[in-house]
Amino acid sequence: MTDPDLAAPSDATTRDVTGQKQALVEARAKEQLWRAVLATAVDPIIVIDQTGTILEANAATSRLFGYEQPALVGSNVSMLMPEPYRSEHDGYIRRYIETGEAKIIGIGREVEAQRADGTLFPIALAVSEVVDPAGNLYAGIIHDLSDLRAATDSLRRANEQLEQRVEERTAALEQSMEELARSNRDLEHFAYIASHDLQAPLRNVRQGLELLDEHLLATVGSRFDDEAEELRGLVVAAVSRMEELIQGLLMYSRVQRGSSPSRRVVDLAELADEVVKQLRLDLDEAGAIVVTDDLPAVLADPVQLRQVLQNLIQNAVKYHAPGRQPKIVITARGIDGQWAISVADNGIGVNSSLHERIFELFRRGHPDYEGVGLGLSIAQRIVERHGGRIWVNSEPNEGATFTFTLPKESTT
Amino acid sequence: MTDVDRRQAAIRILLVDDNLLDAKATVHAAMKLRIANTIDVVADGGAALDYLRRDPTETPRPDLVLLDLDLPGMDGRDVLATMKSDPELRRIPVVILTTSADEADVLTTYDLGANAFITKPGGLDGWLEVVSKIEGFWFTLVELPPK
Repeated sequence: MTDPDLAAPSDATTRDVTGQKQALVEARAKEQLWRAVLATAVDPIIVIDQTGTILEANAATSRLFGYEQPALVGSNVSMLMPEPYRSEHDGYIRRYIETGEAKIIGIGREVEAQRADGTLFPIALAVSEVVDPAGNLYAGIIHDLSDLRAATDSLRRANEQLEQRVEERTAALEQSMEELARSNRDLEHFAYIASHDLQAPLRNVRQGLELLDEHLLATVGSRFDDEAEELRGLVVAAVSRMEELIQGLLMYSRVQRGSSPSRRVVDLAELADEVVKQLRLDLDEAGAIVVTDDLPAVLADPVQLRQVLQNLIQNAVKYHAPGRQPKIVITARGIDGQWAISVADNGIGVNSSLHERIFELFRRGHPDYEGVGLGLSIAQRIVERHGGRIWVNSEPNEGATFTFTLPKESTT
Repeated sequence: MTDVDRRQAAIRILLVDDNLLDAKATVHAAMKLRIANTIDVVADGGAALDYLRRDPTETPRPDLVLLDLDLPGMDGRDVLATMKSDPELRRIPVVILTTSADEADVLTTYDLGANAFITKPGGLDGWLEVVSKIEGFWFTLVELPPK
């Protein structure tokens, strides 16, 4: 020891008496402080000896466990625990003393506690060892976890409910999508069946008229007078229009039959040439010229792509401006990994209010022109089925440019 | 048989069609082209089989059957299957004459032994063309089984 104070030689006795008094005062003050802390603590504090007997239990202990304070002191601490710990607690202490193997002392853990009325509740328990020559003591501080546990539980329940609701919604959504797909299929099937079955009686109407003609010719010797001839003409025109409508509907409903288009590499330039050849009569009649740019090879269903080109070129010829030689320009350019293919004309154009609506089913572009209003609907359906889109840029009397996109993927 | 012999032989056709206007158009075209001496028309499958199973010594069997597919009750496919599995009737050529152009119908009927498949035309001109070609093939070009 090298402490200079201990080595100081003066006035040892006087100092010793004064020191004892002072120590007593200090001990009393510490005792008071300890009592105050114990009494005021919000959480239970319990001191036990090596037999498990409670030496101290503060007011909070009494409040939380529901025992009178006098009933606690002197009792075994195991009374605050549920079985099987209640019976095994003495053993825990003994084993700790013998082996030093701690279950709680110096570690702290969450355990179940039992109130005087038998109810259980969760607590956090911390225990420290107080070394004493007369036998070590153990001080435990208990914190009630009921509220925390309740909050955790309700949070977990809320989470479970939320998950369940998400699951339910997802299932409902999947079901709706399935129903939508089914109703789409039904609708397509319906359109196909309806248009197919509508053809037969219509053919009969036309046939019946013709047979009537023949019959009149054979029996009366002449067909009709002028009025009857005109009426007959109107009926035939209506039948023709109905036939066109049904043909269009059939074509439209056929576009989406089957899951995906049978795509292969199609030389767009070649296809455009073929379509122009096919439409030669219409083009010549209107005096139209068709100019094609460098056109790429694209990945598409050749039959359907031909239909798109044909419909667009037919429209370009049909809606040409009076007194202006129709000129149709077909171009292609790559944008964002797609081909954008345009068919531009110098015709009467499309009013901006109709730019979206002309793609609707049975929407005719212009009252003065013949047609059933299916060409662009079919084109749109085909393009969308190929994963592209179609739109028009146009001003009235400034011509129209119809553009559709096709994915570029692996056309090489 | 020479062409003259053929013309003189009584050509008999059985037309099975429930669509009266189609039947009339067929008959009209056949009359106009002066093809058959007899075209008998029945409107359903049962009547067709009854017709075919009459005593051939009293009423001769037809040289050709024009058969619609969609018939009330026993349909054209049933009539075809029955005819082609009957040794008495299987030699009679059967020409399917239907509104259908479905691949499935084409395959099924050829599998059942149909001799030809024709989709019905539209309009009298169409009928004239079809009937004239049927005549040209079945009653001029082709050697039919002797009765």
